[in-house]
Amino acid sequence: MRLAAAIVFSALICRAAAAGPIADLDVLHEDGSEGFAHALQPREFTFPQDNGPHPAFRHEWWYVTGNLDAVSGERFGFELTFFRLALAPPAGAIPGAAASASASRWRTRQIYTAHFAITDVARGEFRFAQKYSRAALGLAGAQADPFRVWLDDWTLGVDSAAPGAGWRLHAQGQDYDLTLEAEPLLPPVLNGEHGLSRKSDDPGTASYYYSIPRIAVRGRILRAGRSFEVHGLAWLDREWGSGALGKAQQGWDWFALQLADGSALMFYALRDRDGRRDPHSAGTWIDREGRARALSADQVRIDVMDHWNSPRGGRYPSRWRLQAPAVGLDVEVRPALANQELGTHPRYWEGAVDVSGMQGSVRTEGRGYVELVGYGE
Amino acid sequence: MPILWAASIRHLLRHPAQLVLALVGLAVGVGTIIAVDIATASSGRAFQLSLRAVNGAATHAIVGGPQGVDEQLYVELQTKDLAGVPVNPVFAPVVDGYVSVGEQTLQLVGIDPLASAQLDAARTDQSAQTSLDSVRMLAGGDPKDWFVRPGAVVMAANTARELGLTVNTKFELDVDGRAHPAVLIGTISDDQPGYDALLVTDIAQAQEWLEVGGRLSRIDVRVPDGAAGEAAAARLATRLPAGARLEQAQSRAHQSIDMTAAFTTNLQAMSMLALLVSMLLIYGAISFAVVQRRRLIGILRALGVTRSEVLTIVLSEAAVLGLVGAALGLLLGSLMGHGLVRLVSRTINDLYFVVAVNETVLPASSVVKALLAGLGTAIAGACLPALEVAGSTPQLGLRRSVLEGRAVTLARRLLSASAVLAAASGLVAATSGRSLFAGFAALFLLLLSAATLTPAVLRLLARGLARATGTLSPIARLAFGDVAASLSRTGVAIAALGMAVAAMIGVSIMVASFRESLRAWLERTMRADIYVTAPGPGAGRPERRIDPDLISAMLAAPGVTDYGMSRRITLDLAAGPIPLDAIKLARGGYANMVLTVGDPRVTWTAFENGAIVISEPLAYRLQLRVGNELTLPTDFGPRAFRIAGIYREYGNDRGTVLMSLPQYRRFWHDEAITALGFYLAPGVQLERVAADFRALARGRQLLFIRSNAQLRDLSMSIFERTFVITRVLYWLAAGVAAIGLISALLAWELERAREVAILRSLGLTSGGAALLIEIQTGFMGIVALAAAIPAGVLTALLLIEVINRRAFGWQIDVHLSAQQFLNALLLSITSALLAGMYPAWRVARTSIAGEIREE
Repeated sequence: MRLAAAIVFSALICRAAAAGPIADLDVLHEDGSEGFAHALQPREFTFPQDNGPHPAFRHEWWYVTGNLDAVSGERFGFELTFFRLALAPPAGAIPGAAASASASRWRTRQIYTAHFAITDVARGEFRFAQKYSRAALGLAGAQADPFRVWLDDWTLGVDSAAPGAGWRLHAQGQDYDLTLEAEPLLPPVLNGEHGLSRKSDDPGTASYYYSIPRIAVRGRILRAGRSFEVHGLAWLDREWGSGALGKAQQGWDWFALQLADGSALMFYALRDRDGRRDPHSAGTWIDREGRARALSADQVRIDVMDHWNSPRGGRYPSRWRLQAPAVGLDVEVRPALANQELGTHPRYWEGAVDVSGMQGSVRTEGRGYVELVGYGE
Repeated sequence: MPILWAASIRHLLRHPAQLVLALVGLAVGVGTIIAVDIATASSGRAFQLSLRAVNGAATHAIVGGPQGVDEQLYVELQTKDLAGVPVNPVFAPVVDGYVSVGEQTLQLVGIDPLASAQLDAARTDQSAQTSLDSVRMLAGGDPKDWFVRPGAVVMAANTARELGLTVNTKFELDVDGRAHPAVLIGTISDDQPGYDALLVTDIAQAQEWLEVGGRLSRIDVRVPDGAAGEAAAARLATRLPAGARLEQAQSRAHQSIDMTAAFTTNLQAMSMLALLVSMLLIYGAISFAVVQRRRLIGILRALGVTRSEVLTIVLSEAAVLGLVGAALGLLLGSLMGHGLVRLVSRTINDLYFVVAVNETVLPASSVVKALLAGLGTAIAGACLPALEVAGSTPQLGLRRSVLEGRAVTLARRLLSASAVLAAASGLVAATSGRSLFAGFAALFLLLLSAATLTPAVLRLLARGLARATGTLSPIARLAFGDVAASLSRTGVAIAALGMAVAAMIGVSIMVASFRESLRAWLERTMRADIYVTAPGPGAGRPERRIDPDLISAMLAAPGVTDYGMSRRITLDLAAGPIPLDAIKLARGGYANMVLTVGDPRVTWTAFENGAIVISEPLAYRLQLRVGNELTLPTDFGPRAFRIAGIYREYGNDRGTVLMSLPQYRRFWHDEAITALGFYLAPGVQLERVAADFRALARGRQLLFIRSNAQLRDLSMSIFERTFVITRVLYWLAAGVAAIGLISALLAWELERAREVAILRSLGLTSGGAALLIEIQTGFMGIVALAAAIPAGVLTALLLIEVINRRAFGWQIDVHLSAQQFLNALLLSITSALLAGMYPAWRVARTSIAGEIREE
């Protein structure tokens, strides 16, 4: 459930045009998706093909979040996200454009953007960076086999310099430089109805959505020249579609929790403009063997225990009690750091969390990531 | 003391004409300075803003040869970890060139808005999200259009209005003679300065239009401020491939501004001339005001008013005059500045770079300058008369004869002063080496010398003539004798006129000599019958090239016997951008080149073997000699080329490098041709071949196809345009002088009204009285001219041999003709006669009884 990205993305292109009409690119509330493929029916997923891009659809993202421990004891969280946005359907030649022989290699109809954030728990610091690029000249792009998505020197997937090796993840921003080897511990898990995730009654708003809930990561973080050996657990979310958010919807709270016994929970609570939870909210429970079970809106109850006021404005929920009786879960979810807000436009909160509570009759603990969208103005 | 002030004010108010004329002269003098300031500052600012409009946050730029840099370099910089570079620089690619829309020339700038936005965001050290100035240019348009719509461009709202375009209008733009469809998808609001001469588009579109696929004009770079950033830039510089190098953004901007330095210095010097003339005017006005009050001041002194009190009052009057003059000058200068800015920016466009000045700025320093100039000029002008009147004993102060006596002594002294000034001028010019400033100092010394010479000449000639004509006509004798005896009143005005006339003669001779030298040079070097060039502004732009198929077709045209061709590009040297002409001359073509240093046979043989020949301005500016080496940035990195000769060229005041075409193609990956010259078989009709060429080019490329004579005329007309400003400025200086003369004559005539009245009562008719005055003033004009001619010729020599050489480095052959003195004659006689008109009219209608009642 990473539509956040779409908002961010649409806004970035037209941020400039703050005063101008940006509706055409507002992926969330726009219908101008003629010519693009739509997620209308459940489909057959095939891997590794579906790791790669789906250019027939308008937008798509690769979203990795994870919690890391340094050998020296420090704790970190990270987010690395790549978004693809098509400005126009990949139809034939653009009428009237220069003949293909003399067409510039800079010509493109697709744009990529990426977010990178680090939560430095010991120092109480949160940093984020953002990049954009056109999908031209190899500056940014995605491919299925070997899997790789990149923007400038930020990458996720098989290192082109070392084919045959596992996935590698690299990004750097202000003061922090992250390089990880990544190894999926579970096969992809399809969310929603065999991977078709409906966001409203309007069929055009659905997307295809899968996750890899447990990915072992190992590598290093450079902080202002100092190197930390780190290892931990990451989560990959993949989603693509061409539709917009329902008109009545305001934002959402997304939870991805990884529990100590190897099980995991994903749940997104869509909020309507009147503040109520949208009935299309949904989630997936993944047991320790990787078996998925869909959860409906009424199967998960979330109570907000605390709030955090952003210095940029806006009041975010900040501590939760999450109950899913169907799978015997009753846990408290606490942010590892109160301020994990990305000051992008629009702003959103995406942060590392701690989980503790009961799973059935057994005490359980865990970590995860939470995304909160639609709270900053 | 109050009574002194009251006397002073009453006096000034009772003689308003005098006051007004002095003020007008001062205001014009100060105004000229301000106008030149406004014009140069506005053009400079417009250019700076246009540089900053795109990727203004860049600290550096990666540049290459004439073809720019390979776009793959940008990809590598973006996607590869720059190992060893401690701080991450931010990069943004740019592809630029010139295009025309209708009559207007615009700089086409192709950017990647995403990269530009990130470069801009790096300035604030914020997340890229918070500041996206560069993409703001998309405002009003649909951002999707930017990437997807063919021909999408954005321009300043101002420019769009001028071109009559609105958003979503389709129009045609012309690149290198080829028409392309374009559509305006958005405008940049007028409060964002610097976009006036820009046409902004996506980098892909720019590459396609300019046909520079695979190449970037430059890569803008931003590193953080401080030591870490500098270290990063230094590391980055060492990692660039051969043919690409890192330059500071600041120095790039300065280079372009510096190109116009000599030009603006010339303008400023011309405006100083007007002020200098007005200083003499103030002197005249104040001394006259003092002379008029000599009785009053004498009485006051006799009553016990001290010298310092008198001095204070006179200088205070001057100060008030100066301040009011400065204020009026500021006002006048702002008005004139708007007109002058057009001339200045047009000259800059003709000679240097494209700039659109839609906004004039009055630099704060100019306001201070105006006040200082006004005040300084007035006080300096008033000093001498103030000291004089304060220094005289009370009784003597009452007598005019004392003053005239002094003036006579003064005239003699001035003669020696003139000689000293002339000698000083020569000394400064001879010993100051290459300094342009010193050159102008010498020029002003010479003009002052001309000024001081004039009164002495006037006296000498007037006395001589009075004696010579005395037996023939008493009126003539009276007229000349009177002139000789009235130096205290007229001397200064005549001096001012003499100086202005000398300057005018000097500039006329210089311009005419330059014109003749240019004409002779054009005639010698342009021998081909038909010239074909790729159109477009910016002589050294790589996108100017002729379609190769078209070249073959034209060469095969019947009637063509031989041809020469050239490729012109611009090289970025440390000393600034310099054009390189790679040439292949027709048979015997070398004979047409004028070498100022070097034996033609030796030089051209070396040239064919890879040496270069440089133009005079370049040799002068970089102090290069034959046998030296000049390092040029080739596509294979910097390479040193031996200089085999220096040739005469007036085409570029920055200098030009000449290289053989085969040698050029060895070092630059560039097969393009910018211009061709065709020689026709005897008897072949030039018009017929030109028509054939036009038919060949039709539909393929718009080319300038011109005959030899047309091209020469074009060069001459650009030359004439360049000197329009000079003319405007010297007429302003002349205007100040003329006002001075009118004011002085008016004062003189008013003062001796009684004298004339006596003459009339003795039988002089009113017409005779008027004639008397016209003879006198006409005579003064002739004297000013006579004194100014030798000084003017010297001024011309100084302008040609010192100023032009130091400013531009080229040699001009001196050409003298009567024509050049015509303006000066016109100015001196006309202004003198005009100046005499009002007094003559007044005198003629004065009631004799009224004037001599006292007697």
